[in-house]
Amino acid sequence: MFARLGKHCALVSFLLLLAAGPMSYLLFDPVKTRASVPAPDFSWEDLRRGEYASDGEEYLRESSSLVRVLRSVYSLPLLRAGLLESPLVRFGSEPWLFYRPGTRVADPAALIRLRSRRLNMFSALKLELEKRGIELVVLLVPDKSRVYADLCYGREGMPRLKAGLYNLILSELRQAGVRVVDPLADFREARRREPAKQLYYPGDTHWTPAGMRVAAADLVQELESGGIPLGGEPGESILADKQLLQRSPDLVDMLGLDPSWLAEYRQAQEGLRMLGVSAGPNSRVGIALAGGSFSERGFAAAIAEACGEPVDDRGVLPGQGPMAGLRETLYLLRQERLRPRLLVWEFVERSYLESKFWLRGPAELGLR
Amino acid sequence: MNFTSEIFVFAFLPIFLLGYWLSPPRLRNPVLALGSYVFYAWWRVDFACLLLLSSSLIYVAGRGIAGEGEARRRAWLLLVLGANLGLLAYFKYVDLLIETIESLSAQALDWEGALLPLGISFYTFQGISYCVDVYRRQVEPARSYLDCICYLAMFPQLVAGPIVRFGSIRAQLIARRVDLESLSGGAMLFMIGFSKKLLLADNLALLADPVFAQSAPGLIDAWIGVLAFALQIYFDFSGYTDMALGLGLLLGFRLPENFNSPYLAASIGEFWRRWHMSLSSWLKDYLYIPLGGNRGSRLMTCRNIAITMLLGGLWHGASWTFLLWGGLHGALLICERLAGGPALYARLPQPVSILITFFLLSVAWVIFRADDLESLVGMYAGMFGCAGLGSLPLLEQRAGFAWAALLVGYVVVFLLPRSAEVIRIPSLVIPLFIVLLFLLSLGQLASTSYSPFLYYRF
Repeated sequence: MFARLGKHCALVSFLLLLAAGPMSYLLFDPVKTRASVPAPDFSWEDLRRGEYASDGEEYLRESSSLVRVLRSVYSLPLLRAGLLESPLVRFGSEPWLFYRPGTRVADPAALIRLRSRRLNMFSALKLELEKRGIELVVLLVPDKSRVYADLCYGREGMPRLKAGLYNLILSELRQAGVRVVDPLADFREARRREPAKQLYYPGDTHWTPAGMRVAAADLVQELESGGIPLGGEPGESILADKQLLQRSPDLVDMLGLDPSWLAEYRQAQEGLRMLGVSAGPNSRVGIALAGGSFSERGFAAAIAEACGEPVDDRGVLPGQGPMAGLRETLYLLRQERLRPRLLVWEFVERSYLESKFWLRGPAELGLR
Repeated sequence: MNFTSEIFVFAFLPIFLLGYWLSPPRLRNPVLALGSYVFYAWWRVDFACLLLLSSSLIYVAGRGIAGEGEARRRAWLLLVLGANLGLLAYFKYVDLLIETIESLSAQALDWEGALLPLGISFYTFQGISYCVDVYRRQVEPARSYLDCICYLAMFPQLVAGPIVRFGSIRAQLIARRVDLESLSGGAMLFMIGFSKKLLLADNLALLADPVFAQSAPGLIDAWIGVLAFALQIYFDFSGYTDMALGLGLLLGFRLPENFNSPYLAASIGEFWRRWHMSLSSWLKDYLYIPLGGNRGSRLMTCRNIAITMLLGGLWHGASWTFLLWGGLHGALLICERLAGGPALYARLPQPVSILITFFLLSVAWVIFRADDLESLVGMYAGMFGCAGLGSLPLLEQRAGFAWAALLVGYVVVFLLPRSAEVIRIPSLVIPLFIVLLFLLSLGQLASTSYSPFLYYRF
């Protein structure tokens, strides 16, 4: 009898758990306004290809009160007990989180094997831009785990291969004849000078406006010392102002935690926006920025503020890897819809570790 | 739609089950067909149309095959086999063909690649078995178009099996009973499968994936990766099957079991009688025996085994590594047969036979998991100590759950009864423990990102 009771209890529990999904939507207000994923726009083509359904699924998941409660009820006790683990997140000194795949060189052999393809790509890119009279400048964005190595690795220290990665990138770029901006020393100096000022967010992989400004100042200094004239057009001073970004910390999201449940990560995400741009619609913006999520947060504004001229950020495409923005920029150049004299490429250190971006060499950018 | 997704568990399944159970018996097949197509079209509407087209052809051909006139019946059979195998060949193997031509000719062809429709290997084989069985007069054709649609598109087993024979389900399509016993058994089986996938397979992937991502892993890492993958693929696939069987029971269907503790096999031959049993028996009945089976000379038997295993390997995926994997299994089966079959292992204590078999299987799984021949060579070099001990990056990871999954996984595989037996054990504690595991799995599901089933590729 008890055995039968147990089976029936299991069935009832199962059905109640299944029913919790639709019931939570009917009884509680869906957290649609807080959802980090927007509702997809309908199109027949997207429906046919299944993209509408998959985007809709993601939206429904992220807007579901039940899923958010389940996530936090599951993950929060584990976090508090120090048992939470993730293949994507490395736990540093509290409350600092780091993107785990960027904290070590998992496949050194691939890094060596793809060297010639990377060099070919850099050289081809430089050549392509030179033909159009454009100077290429690569701004190497150091990983958060490098700037905050003490908080990430603690006493064990940064692994040897990872420690050498940054210099490897610099040397390869320089070997290809590309002008590189290396802001690492200034990041470290900025940390030393004002330890309370955060250059990266503790629960996010990205930099803060303060970090952006350090990098932008470094970029301008490098260009000026290289004899590249800046601040020509429009002749008025440009200011950048902080703006609030509607997003939750990505590393906290990767842990499946609701940041609103965690005081230590309940920090407004900020970006920068450009102010005082008086360039007319026909003005020729001399600086173009290509990049991803780091640039998306207003790095163009930080550069504009530092050098005094506007920056075209149509080549900033977040969430699509390091090449997408550059591909878009090259496309705009070929279409002659963009005619800068200077192209700044935001290049995140950890992208060197992802072989998929380098396998095709110059062809990845549509170059020969 | 994926069984281990929130949209399935919290939206599709409760709404579908409510609609299905509230429907009068005569409307249950239409509801099942509709639900199955919604389930499949959620992935891609155009491929749902392809499934419908393929099913319609199979139904029409089935009627033709069941008719009179041997020549006409044979023509229908050849037509439907050609069409279905043609579709499978196009969607699954054309990319491999193009890649091979490109690499042999060192020229890039103007080809964008074909997207593989989910479960096409499963529903194609199911359709072929239906037509062949009707041709052999072993089974009556489907009494209606709807029955045929339900049989081929039934969502519990549509995308990853088991491969169901029409004869085993024909009566259930006409009349089936849903009672409290089958409902509770189905719920428990679904929860066990769900937990296997989420708590074991997905955590084991945390150990296996980083190793297989390396070009040249060290000795210890390589073996940890291989041992983790051997469990991962078992829990992934058997977890899916448990869920499929559980869903079947919730709908009143008794689907065939697909696994029988395969790692307790004491020989490779026995392994294939315990692993993915519906595929093994399909290959035996529709390929090995028609080729001549073991009726001819020893050489012919070896040839038939080799052909069956090579094609069986290629069925798993469009890559030369799968062909190699099938070839290795074929070679092992031939060696076993030549060395005396079961008598070969009979001289050894059973645990030793099981361990030897498991070792051979694990070595073969490397071929199955490797992305290409280059990484395959790297893994074997690592496993046999050619790349040193390695930096042991796996040991640096904070992956306690993954290590726990490895330990628990081996206990489950070698010491515990299989899922279908667990749900029959009279106990109050076991069902409640299963609910607890399900709750934990839901928590893990919500807190981790989407992870598709390995077998969806096939």
